[in-house]
Amino acid sequence: MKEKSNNSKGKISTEEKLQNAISELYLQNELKRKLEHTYNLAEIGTWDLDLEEQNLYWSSFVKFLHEVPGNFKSDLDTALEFYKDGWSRKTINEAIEDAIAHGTSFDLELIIITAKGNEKWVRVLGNPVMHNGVCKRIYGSTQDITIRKNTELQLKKSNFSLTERVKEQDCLYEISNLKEHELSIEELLSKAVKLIPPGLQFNEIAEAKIIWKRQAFKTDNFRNSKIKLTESDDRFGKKALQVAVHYVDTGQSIEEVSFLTEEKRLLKAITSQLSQKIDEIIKRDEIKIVEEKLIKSNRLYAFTSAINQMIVKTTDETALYNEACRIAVDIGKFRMAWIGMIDEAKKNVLPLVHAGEDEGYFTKMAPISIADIPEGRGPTGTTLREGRFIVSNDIENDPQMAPWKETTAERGYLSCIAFPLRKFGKAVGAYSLYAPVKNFFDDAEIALLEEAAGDISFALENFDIAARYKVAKDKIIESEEVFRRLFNESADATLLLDDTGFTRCNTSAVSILGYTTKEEIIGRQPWEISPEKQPDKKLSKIKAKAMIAKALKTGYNRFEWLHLKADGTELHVEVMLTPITLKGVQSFYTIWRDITERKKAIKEIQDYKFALDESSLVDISDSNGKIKYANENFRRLSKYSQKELFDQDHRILNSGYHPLELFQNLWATVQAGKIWRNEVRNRAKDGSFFWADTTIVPFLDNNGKPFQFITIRTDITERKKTEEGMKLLSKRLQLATNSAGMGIWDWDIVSDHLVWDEGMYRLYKIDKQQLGSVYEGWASRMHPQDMERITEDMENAIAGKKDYNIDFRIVLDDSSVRYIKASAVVERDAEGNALHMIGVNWNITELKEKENELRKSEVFNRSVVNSLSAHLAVANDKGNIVSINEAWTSFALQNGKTSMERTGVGSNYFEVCEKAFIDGDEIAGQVLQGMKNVLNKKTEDFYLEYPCHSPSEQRWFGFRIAKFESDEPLILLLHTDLTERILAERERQKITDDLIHRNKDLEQFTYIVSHNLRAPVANIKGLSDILTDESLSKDEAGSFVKDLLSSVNKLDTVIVDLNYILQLKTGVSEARERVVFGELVNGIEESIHSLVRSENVKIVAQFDEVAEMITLKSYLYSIFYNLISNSIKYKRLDVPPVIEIKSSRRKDEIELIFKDNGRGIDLEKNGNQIFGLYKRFHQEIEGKGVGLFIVKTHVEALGGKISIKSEVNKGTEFKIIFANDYTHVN
Amino acid sequence: MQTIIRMLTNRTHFIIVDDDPINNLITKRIITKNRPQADMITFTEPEKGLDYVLSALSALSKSDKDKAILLLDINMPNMTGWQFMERLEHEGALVGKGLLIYILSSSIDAADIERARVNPHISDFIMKPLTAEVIHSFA
Repeated sequence: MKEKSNNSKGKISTEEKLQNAISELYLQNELKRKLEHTYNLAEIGTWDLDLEEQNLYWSSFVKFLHEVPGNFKSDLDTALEFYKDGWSRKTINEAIEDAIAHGTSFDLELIIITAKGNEKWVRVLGNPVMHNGVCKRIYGSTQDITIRKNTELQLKKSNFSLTERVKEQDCLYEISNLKEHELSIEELLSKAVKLIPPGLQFNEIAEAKIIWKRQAFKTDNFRNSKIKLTESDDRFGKKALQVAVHYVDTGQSIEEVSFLTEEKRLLKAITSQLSQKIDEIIKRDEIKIVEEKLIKSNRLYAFTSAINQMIVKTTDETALYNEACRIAVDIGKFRMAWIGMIDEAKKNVLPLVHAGEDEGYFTKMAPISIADIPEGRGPTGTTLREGRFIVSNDIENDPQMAPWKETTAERGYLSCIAFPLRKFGKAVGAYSLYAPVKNFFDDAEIALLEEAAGDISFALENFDIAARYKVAKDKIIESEEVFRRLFNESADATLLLDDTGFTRCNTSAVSILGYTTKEEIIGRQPWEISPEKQPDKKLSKIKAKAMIAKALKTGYNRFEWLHLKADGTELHVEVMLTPITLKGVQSFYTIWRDITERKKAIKEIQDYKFALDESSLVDISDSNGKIKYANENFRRLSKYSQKELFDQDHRILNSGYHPLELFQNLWATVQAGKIWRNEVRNRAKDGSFFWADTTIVPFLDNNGKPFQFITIRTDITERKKTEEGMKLLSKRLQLATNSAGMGIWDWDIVSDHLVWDEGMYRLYKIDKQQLGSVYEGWASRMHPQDMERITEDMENAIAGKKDYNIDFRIVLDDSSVRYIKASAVVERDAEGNALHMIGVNWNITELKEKENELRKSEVFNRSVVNSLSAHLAVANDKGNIVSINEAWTSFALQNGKTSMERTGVGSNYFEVCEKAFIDGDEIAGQVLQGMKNVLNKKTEDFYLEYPCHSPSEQRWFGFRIAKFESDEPLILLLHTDLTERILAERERQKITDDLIHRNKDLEQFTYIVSHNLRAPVANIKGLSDILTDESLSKDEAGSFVKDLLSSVNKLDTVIVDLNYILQLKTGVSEARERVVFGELVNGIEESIHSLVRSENVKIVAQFDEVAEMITLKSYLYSIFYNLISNSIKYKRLDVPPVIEIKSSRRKDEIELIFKDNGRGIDLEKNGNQIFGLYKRFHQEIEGKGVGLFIVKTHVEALGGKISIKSEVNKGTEFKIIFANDYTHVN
Repeated sequence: MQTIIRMLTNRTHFIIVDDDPINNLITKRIITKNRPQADMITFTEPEKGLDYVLSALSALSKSDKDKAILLLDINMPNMTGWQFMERLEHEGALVGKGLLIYILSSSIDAADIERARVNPHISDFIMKPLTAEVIHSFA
């Protein structure tokens, strides 16, 4: 057609060109579309960046991935912007640059932010196409791997988690083990910071930093990084404590380490622990300051008191100076004390006496001037010049102390004070005291010391003992009075202890112990008002003595102690024990602090707050409901900051879900001072909802009015979701069960209470209203034949022996039967006792009926197949027999003499045949090949008939292999016993042969009649006719009569022969018998022995293979006789006849061969007439032409066949084959 | 040779091929009696008869006046009448009108009669014995 049109138009028209172009384009697009479709299926998008055209093509899936509309037009810049800013975008940019510059292809896993703002992990592959070293285009694919990536991360996380937990716990343990009692905050934090990284997941790249009030503590290799986590604690001021972990930047994005949330949790725990420890340290330090002060003032009192006592006793100046210095060091616990005298000549101070650790201070010390020069502006110099005490509380940084800075620093003198010593109004020397701490001297102390210094000056002026004594005495009394007052009025329980027990105590001590008078305490030892053992199991008496000894040794001891109050209850106290000498008696100044409540309260509050903060959303609002504080959980879930929440009321969270009444009720309840509780749906800042179990606790003032509310919420969003889901689910289930014709029942086994849902009533067609008990209703419907079985199954299910899964029948009111399928689960308690049984019933009547129908048809098919006498098997393509019919089975059982026949379902017929074939069974080989050919579709089917005779029986089988219509390749093996058919066929063949034979006989007879019989008759007729001629002469007539006679004789012979032949053919009633060939030949030889001798005949008989047969002896004799005599008769004239007779067996046949060396017959000429009647081939030899006819007739009468081979002048060979007819063996 | 010359003398010449001497005796007697001027030759061995017929045919083809009549038996040893015919046909010289072939057989077999009838070279089937009527019917 096309050619034709081309011819007519001469060339392709423009229109056609266009058409072709369009269809080609269409094909391309179609191909592209198909390819794309395939990629879409694989969730892979493709893209193509044309660098020349500056064009970027995105497949629809890429668009889908980026969540952009289908008509989205992409270019390189916009495409790159989808990659998440930072690592992802940097990586893709670099990859594309690299691809363009060097033709490097890439395969990356990156993050994109879709048009809708979703974060997705993608795998991007790019392949640049280079042309002459220039990148023309890059094509590639993009695949969504978010799920895989998340799973990977999840997996990573879960793999990590266990070891991480252990690491974390180790880390936390190490940090908690830091002994805050022995450390300063600085020491604590510099130790703690080193313990943080080992607890982290990425400890190799993690460095930690702790900031405490602008002071930083870092790990050794700390470097600032963008990838960091920071946690802070505001307990000591906003962000006073910060703990940070910085990760060494390895180029990984923060997304890669997105599970840092775990780290954050650890960091938080660390921060909280450190914060607590710092708190402890701060408290300890505060106490220490108080204690130190107390000790200091105790010491100073002791010092002044000692000075005064000394003054009374001392009588000379040097002793006074010496004692003053000794007391300052021994009792005042100053590091060093010295007294220097003014050297008027040198205008400097000459050290006179000193005590304490000076370590050569005075030899190295810069000389002290009293002039107003740098060397005179120290405390000593100044005090002498100005006549007043001079204090330097920070020697190190005191410009006045510059000349002595080095020497003082070396000896640990941090504070000092100098007092002028006067004699009659004139300063003669200075009394200087050095303390090992900064800021040692405060006003009260200075006042005390100044007094002491004044007292010394006084003593210098008045060595009159009496006067001095009185003054000193007054001073002592005064000092003691000050002390006593201090002692008695102290809020803390304060006691004085010496060897004899408590000697003094204040009222606080009495009340703290629950006594009424001081006398109840005085005189008692500490352990006498303590339990026998302290909480650390040490005996109170021993421990108390140890504590006292320690205090004496170190000058101070603080420890916790458990006392017993008057009423026997416990009293936890912190004991501060300071040794003092009172009136020369070693005593201990004892302060008790009741820490029972404090400890308990602090711990409780901390515990509560922690528990609350951990588990709940907490906020505190004022009496107007204005939020004043929100804890972190609350802020996190509501997504509001502290600032945003501050001064808001709870309506900020209103989701509009609940009716107004709920909130009115809330307000009314809490205003009344009652706790309100409900489940509330809240809305967070971002519009998301969260459910909270909300409890509002009003805090009441003294008037019973609430002054603040604490709202505690528990996040129950998940539970609510589940509940809602459940509700929905149960609704759906209801729907599903209803539509599926299902019913649900619930049997409370303990109370024996059975409940049905609507579906059950429908299923059982029982009116709920009219039903007495559910159980009775159920039982009434039960098919009587199924009842027992159900009961048994139920009992088994309850006993846990078997799952309840049963089919049964129910009988409806109209006697129709319904099939029910039931299954149930048994709920048990912890001991395994059955509590509940919940089950479903559903109507499977239709199914059952169909099943029955199917079964019937199956049964029908099966019975048809089984009724077949053919042996039927179905095998699969592996040769395994998958199905057989009964005939196959019984045949295999009864007749399985070969393995091929002894097969059943499961046997492999390939193997069976193969084995049989190897064992020499050729039929098995053919069958095997046949099966394979059919399976390989080489042939449609395969059919083979084969005999399989047993000694007792002749059998034939047919083997058909055909494809079996089925989903899987199956073959049908059809094995049929053909014996009957074959026998019948043989019978028929025999009859047919017989008929043909008879027909031939008849023809023969006709022939004989028409020729052999008719010939003499014709002659007789002719001759008779001639004889009627009267003109015949007598001679002539005589000759004709002679001929006539001859013809009549011939006619007679023919008739005689004919009679004989006809007799032959009518069969014989003679019985068959065993005929031994050798004997037969011998008999014949004997009967013609004269001929044999005269003709020199040699008969070679060879009957080794078959010596005999069952047959009609006379026939066989006739056959042998005729053939032997024929051979002799038609011998060659020049050669003595040799007749060889041989028998052999061929399968089921016996073959006899008669071979002679006679003149032979020209078979070409006479072949078809050899065995005819009256056939003679050698005219010169007398014969009627009956012999071979008789032989043939006899052979055939015995069921055999005869054939001839002959060559003129060589010889003739007759072959006779008899079937070995077993059936006639007697 | 003599016979052939006789044939050329415009007389009916009978060739009889039959192995049965008695029958030949009868045939000769009938022919002699009814066609006295006819001459005849008899063969009991068909091979010899065939040789004669073949040589006679070549002579016959040269004369359009003389004619020969072959009386052929069917049932003969070594060569049946049919085989005789086949050989004759095989020589391919049966187109001349000088030779009339008659089957003279004792057979009453319908198959034989039919076979003779369908053969275009065979003039008729004569059932033995040959009779005067049959001789007269010859042209």
